[in-house]
Amino acid sequence: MRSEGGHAVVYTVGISDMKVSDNASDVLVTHSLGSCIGLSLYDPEIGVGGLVHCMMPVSKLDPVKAAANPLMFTDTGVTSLLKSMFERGANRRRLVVTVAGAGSLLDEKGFFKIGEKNYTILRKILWKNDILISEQDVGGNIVRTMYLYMDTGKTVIKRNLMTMNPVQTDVGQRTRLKEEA
Amino acid sequence: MSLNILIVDDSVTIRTVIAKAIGLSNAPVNEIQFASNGEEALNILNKSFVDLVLADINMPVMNGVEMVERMQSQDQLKKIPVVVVSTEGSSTRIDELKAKGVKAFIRKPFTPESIYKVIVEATNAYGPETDHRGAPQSEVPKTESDRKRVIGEVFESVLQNLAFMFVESVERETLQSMESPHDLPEKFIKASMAFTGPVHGWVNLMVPDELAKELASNIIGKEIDKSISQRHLNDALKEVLNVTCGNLLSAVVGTKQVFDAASPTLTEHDQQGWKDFLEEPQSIPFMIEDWPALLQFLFEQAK
Repeated sequence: MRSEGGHAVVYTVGISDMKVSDNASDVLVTHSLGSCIGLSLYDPEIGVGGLVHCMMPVSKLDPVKAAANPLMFTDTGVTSLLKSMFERGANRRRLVVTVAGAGSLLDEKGFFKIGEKNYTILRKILWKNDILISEQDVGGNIVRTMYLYMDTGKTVIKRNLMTMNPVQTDVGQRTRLKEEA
Repeated sequence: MSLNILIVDDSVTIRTVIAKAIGLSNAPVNEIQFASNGEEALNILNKSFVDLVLADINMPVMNGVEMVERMQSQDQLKKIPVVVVSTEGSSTRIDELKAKGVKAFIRKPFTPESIYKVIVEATNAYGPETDHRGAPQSEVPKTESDRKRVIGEVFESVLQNLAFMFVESVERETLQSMESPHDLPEKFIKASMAFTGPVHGWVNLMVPDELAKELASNIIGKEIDKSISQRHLNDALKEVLNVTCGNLLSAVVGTKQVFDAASPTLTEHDQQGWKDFLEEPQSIPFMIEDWPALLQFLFEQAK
């Protein structure tokens, strides 16, 4: 979904959805991250970023739905986002990786552990693709919203629709860390 | 400043994982060297310039505790920061190691990101934070059913964090029903290790060899291909048992106690061997995703 406020163009990434952009005026946002998992990737050198919102851990649970919409599942959804980023020229070693969601909402007794499983599968795919997580805000009984600002590459995570201790991935700060060390 | 890092661990899998995590982290690294025990590490430290040592505790020939003590007794080595990466859950031993100059502690299973964090912290002026993260810690279980539940939780946590795999406790009948050759894998591997301390005993884990491949692939972070050798497969299963044992001892026996553990050993078994092990009353049945697994945690008070 696209909406224009001022000069920024805001794209809403729905549940089981993703968006990749190389336009600095875009803002990618995904809402309602409960047990779902949100992953934002940004390559600061070429200004390409992407956001995916996945619902269930593994596609083999429902191959028919997975074939219809691979973005519904974390294994196929994360793979799809990585492929799209690489097709646009992103380099895995440069990616700034932010993760949000994977909460235990509606599942406090832990019967299904959907959030935990989403997070574990995401970690497995990133590890097998030689990618580490830069920042994350995961777990707990919290609903989150995740923004990727394409002009700066910053990812901002807001909790419960209010700005409570937002987590920010600052591309500049990460670069400074490398230089200082 | 580029760092020269020495990784000391008898497990080739863990050495590979730590080196990979350092390589991916953009940490300023000049050279990574490897040693499989404390004696090899001291030889390297006396011959080359090392900025940081990441070391296991339980190793053959010379363990990590003795290595740290030897480093402290040599002027040219005692200022090199040592980070312990271990299954050690004993608060007593961790305090002893800190008193001997260990800068930080990472408990297995660890995340690759935590390795990077601790490198930055251990080599900067502000000092590191010790990471006591591990299996869920709660009161030591008193009843048999509580103990079984805690064993399940620990095993689940280890597999999920170390190998990104999901574990489910199942009834014995579920595994007994996998009798047809089609359902039941043909080859199994049993990993065993002994421990001594206030209680002494064994941990045994039997899994299909196909699962050992998946474990190695996930832990190292590579698809299964020729680059994953039999040595890696065996070593990965040993490391799963090693980490499970360390976390079980602190969760089931207590975090104050100090234990010493022997290196895990592996034996191969056919379907009959599996069925025999399944019938042993101490075997706790699990499904690790699509594969059956049996875990035994046997201990008694030391005399």
